[in-house]
Amino acid sequence: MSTPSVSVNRVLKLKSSDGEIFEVKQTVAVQSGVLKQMMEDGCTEGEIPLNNVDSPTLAKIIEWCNKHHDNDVEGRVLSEEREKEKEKEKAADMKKWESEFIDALNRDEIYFLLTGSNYMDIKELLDCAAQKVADMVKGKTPEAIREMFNIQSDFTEEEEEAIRKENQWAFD
Amino acid sequence: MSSSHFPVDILYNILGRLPVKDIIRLRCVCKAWRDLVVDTEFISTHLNLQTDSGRCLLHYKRCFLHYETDDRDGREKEYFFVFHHRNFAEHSKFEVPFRCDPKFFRMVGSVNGLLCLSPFFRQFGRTLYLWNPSIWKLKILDDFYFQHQFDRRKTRSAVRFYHKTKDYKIVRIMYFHDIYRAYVEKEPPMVEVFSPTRNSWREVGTYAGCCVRDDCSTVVVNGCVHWFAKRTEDASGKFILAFDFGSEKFGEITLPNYIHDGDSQSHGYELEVSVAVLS
Repeated sequence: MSTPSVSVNRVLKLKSSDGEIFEVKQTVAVQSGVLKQMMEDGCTEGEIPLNNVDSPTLAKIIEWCNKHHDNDVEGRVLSEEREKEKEKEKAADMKKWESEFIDALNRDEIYFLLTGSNYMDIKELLDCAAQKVADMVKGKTPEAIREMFNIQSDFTEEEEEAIRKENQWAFD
Repeated sequence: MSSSHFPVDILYNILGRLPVKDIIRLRCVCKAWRDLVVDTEFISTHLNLQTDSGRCLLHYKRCFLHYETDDRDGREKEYFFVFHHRNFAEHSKFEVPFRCDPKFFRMVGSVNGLLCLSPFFRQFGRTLYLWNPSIWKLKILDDFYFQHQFDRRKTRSAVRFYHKTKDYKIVRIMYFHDIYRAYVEKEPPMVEVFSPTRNSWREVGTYAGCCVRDDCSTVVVNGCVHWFAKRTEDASGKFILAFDFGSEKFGEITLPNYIHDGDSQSHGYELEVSVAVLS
């Protein structure tokens, strides 16, 4: 995770699309592929504008990264002490924390979290949010999914009926 | 939440996590989503995100399949039982929505969720089943470009399957031989290529002077498929034959000597190593 140019005490200043400044430790920021690349290229002086991420979303993203960073650091100490059982417990706790974190968000917040983590290239968060939306979609009818994603059907009735017929087994 | 504002890779990341049945139902949502399931990029995202062991078939490069009807669940259904190509251990079974006469199949290739199967034994390669288990679509290719009166006992086919971003291609080489040896000197092999855009086979020229040794060992590197071959006039002259699916040309790679030893069964694995080193 660490690169030569990352120092424990240095912080990055992230500027959200609505102009709010967030300070993040470099060791936390490396979870973002984009910020990690910028650190390696040595271009993190001053404020880093994140034009696609608003302040509520950025706050959420930083909360996620801080939590995962803390867990990483503690985890390392534990594994040195060979307390594997506790490590497992930690992983389960983290899973619980992640699902509570995601479940507390409404649809729009999840949407912004998805685009924000995609933009900042934070794979774990992106996957977690994508899984949440997938779980929301699972088992839903096409009508419910249209409503959920705000999609207008561009099929004629005949066309839609033809697709249902062709893929009848999936609708049984 | 509005899907029209989603970058397509996020949408794939979400929908790729769904079971196949859900994805098929999503085809009704709108035209863009209808076309999703046939997009090869989506298919490969879906495969990578699925952890269900039953779908592992799509990752197998070589295996045997046994077609059988089974009424264990009270209703008669058709299944493919999948066996490992070397130890014949049963991997898994999966339901198929079609009936077919041949009972034994061998995997020609499997890329991005599309399987290419062919009936086993001497008929191998004559009829090809292109089967997409995710969307339950089957296409049977039983024609040839060469309107040749094949003597069924005296031809043998080698088939290779390749799939890239938007398209797939199949190359088939027909060899003519008697029971004991290939007749390459008398009648050169015929080579034909199938692509779905043309929906037909066409000739791509012949490649005389070699014979595929091991039908199972195939490696695709950089758009070229590689396999073991030997020169018929010289049984010890083994080499790797490569076919470039882009330019549709053949090439050869000379083998290091040590690969000449050992049984043919080990060649499939050695081929993977040797081509990896050369690329």
